Amino acid sequence: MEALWIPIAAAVAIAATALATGWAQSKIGASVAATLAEKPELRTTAVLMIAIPETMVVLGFVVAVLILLRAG
Amino acid sequence: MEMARIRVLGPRALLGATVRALQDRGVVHLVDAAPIDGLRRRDLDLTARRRRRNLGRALADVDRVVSGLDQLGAPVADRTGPPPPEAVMARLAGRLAAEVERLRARERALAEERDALRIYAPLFGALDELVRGSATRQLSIFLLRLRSGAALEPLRGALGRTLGDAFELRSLELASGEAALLLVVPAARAQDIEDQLAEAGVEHAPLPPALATAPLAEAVLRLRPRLDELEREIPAARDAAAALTRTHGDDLARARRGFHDTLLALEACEHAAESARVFVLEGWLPARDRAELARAVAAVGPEIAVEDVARDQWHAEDAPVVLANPAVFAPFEVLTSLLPLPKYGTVDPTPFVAVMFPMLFGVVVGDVGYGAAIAAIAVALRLAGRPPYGLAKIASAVALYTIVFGLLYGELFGDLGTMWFGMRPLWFDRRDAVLGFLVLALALGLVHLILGLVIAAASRWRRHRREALGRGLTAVMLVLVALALLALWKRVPEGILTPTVVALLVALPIVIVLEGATALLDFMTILGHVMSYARVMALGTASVMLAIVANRMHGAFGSAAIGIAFALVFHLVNFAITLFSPTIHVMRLHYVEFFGTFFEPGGGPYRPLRHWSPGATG
Repeated sequence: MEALWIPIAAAVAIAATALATGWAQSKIGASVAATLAEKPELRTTAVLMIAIPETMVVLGFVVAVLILLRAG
Repeated sequence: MEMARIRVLGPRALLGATVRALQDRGVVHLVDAAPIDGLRRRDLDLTARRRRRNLGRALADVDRVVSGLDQLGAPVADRTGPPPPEAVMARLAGRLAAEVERLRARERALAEERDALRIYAPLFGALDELVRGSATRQLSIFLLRLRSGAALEPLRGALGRTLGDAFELRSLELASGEAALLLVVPAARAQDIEDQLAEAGVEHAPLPPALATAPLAEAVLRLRPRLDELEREIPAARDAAAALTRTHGDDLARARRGFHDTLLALEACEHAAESARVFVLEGWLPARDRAELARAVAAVGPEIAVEDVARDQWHAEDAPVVLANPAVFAPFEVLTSLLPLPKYGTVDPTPFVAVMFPMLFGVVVGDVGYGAAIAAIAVALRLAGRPPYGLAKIASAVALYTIVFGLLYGELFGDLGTMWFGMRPLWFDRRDAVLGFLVLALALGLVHLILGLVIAAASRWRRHRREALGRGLTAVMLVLVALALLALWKRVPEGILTPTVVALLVALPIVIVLEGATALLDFMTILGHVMSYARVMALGTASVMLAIVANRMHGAFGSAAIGIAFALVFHLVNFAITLFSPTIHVMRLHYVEFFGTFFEPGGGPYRPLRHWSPGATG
C-alpha cells in the first residue's frame, strides 16, 4: 500500500504547487500586462514579479524528489 | 566612479562660449545652480526664446526629411562640420519636408496599387489565353470575388446550366481564403449573367483606383500593363529621393547635428544663475576629468573660474552615478542597469554579477553540447557586429561555464556523450546524485548570500557602522547555521554542534540590538532566500532529463529517420528553454536574493552636456 502512496504523495507535492504557481502567475501576469501597457520601463520588475511565484513549484519539485528518494 | 561637483563662474557675456566649451568636453552633467545672493535663475530673453522655437521647428523638419528619405531607401549619412546658416536651412528643410512627404505618399500609393494588382497576376496568363483564343468573338469579361472557395463549384454549375459550355471560368484562391474569378461570357449574355450574379450575391473584385473608373472589360485588359507601369514608377520615386539625398544630404546631416547642439546649449544655459554681470553654472563630472575641464574652460577666457563645491555642501543622493568597470566586467552592466542604479557611494554589483551570473547559469545548464551552441551564438553575435556588443561577451562567458560544468557533469546533449564517446563525469552525475546536486545548489546560495552580507558590511562600515556590524554578524550566523547542519549530518565533528547552537543563540539578540526588531524576520528571510537556490537544482535536473528524453526519441519510433528528426526538434526546444528559463531564474536570484543583502538603489543617471549624435538619447 505504501508503494502506492509514495508516488501519489510526490505527485501531489508537485501538482499542488504547480497549480498554486499557475494561479498566482495568472493574477500577476494580468496585472503586469496592464502595468507594462502604461509603464514599459517597469519590464524588469515585471519579469521578477512573474518569476517570484515559481519558488513554490521549485520547492514542490524538491519535496517530490525527496519523497521519492527517501522511499528508495 | 568618484564624482566631483563643480561651479563655473564668469562674465555674463561669456556664458554662451563657456557652455560651448563644456559641450565640447562632454563630461559635465549640469544641474540648476544653487541660489547665491544677488544671483537669479537665468530666463531666456524674447530673442533667445524665439530662436529656440524656430530652431525646434527647423529641426523637426530636418528630422522629418531625414526619416522620410531613409524610408524611401535613400538614407542620409551622418556628417560632422559647420552647419549651414539657420535661416537658410530652415527654409530649405521646410521645402524638402513637403517634397519628401509628397514622394512618400506617391510611393505608398503606388506600392499599395502594385500589391493589389499582384493578387491578380496569376490570372494574367489565363486572361491572355482567353482573349487570344476568342479574338473573333464578342466577349464580356468579369473579375469576381467569392467570399469562400467552397462556393466555386456551385457557381460553375449554375453558369453551366445557364450558358452551357459558352463560358470560361478561371479561379485563384487568395491568401485571405477568398477566391478571385475570371469569367468570360458571350457579350450578348453579359447583362443576363450580371443580373444572375447580383442575385446570387457574387461581388465584383475590387480594382485599383487608377482602373476603377474604366469600363470593366477595358480595366481587366489593362491590369498587366498597369502593373508593368507601376514596377517602373516605384523605382522612379525612390530615384527622386536618392537625388534629394545626393544634393542636400550633407547639409541635412550637418544641420541636424548643429541644430541639436544649439538647442542642447540653449537648454544648458537655463541651468545658469546670473546677475547683470556674472553667471554661475553648476554640475557634476567624474573627478578624474576635473583638471582637464578646468584647462578647457580657461581657454574661453582668463576670467572664467572653475571651483569645487565642498563635499559637505552636497548629498550623495544628488550625485549622478557612472558605472565604471574593467573591460572584462563592463558587458554585464547591461544586467545591472535593468534595475535602478546604485546610490552614489555604494557598491556597484556588476563585478559580482559578472562572476556569479555565468557560473550559476553553467551550474544549471552544464552541458558541453549546449555550451558549444551558446558559444556559436556568441561568435555569430560578434561577427554580426551589431549592438548591444556586450551580449556576445556575456554569451561567451555563459558558454564557457556551461562547457566547464558540462565536463564536470559528463554531459554532452544529455547522455549522448556517454552513449557515443563513453564520456564520464569529472565530478558527479546529476541524473543519479539528485540530492548531492540539491546540496550543491543550496551551498552556492549560502556562499552567494554570505558574500552579499560581507559586501554590505564592508560598504557600510564608514557610513553606518552599527548596520555594518549587524550585516556582518548575520553573515556569521549563516555560517553557524551551515555548520550546525553539517554537524547534524555528521559531515563535521558532532562536537561542534552544541557550541554552534549556543553561538547562534548569543548572536541573535545582538543582531536584534544592532539592526532592530526586524532583524529576526530579516534573518528568516535570508534563510528562505538560501532555499530559493534550490531552483538551480530543479532547473538543472529538468534540463538534463529533457535532453535524455530527446535522446530516447530515435528508438521510440519505427523509423530511425523520424526518431532522429524528433530528437533534434526536442533538443532544439530544450535549448530554447535553456536559453530563456535559466536566464530569468539566475537573474532573479541576483536581483531578489543577492542584491537584497546589500544593494542600495537610488542613483541618478549621468547625462553630461555633449554634442548630439544619431542614436543619442538626449
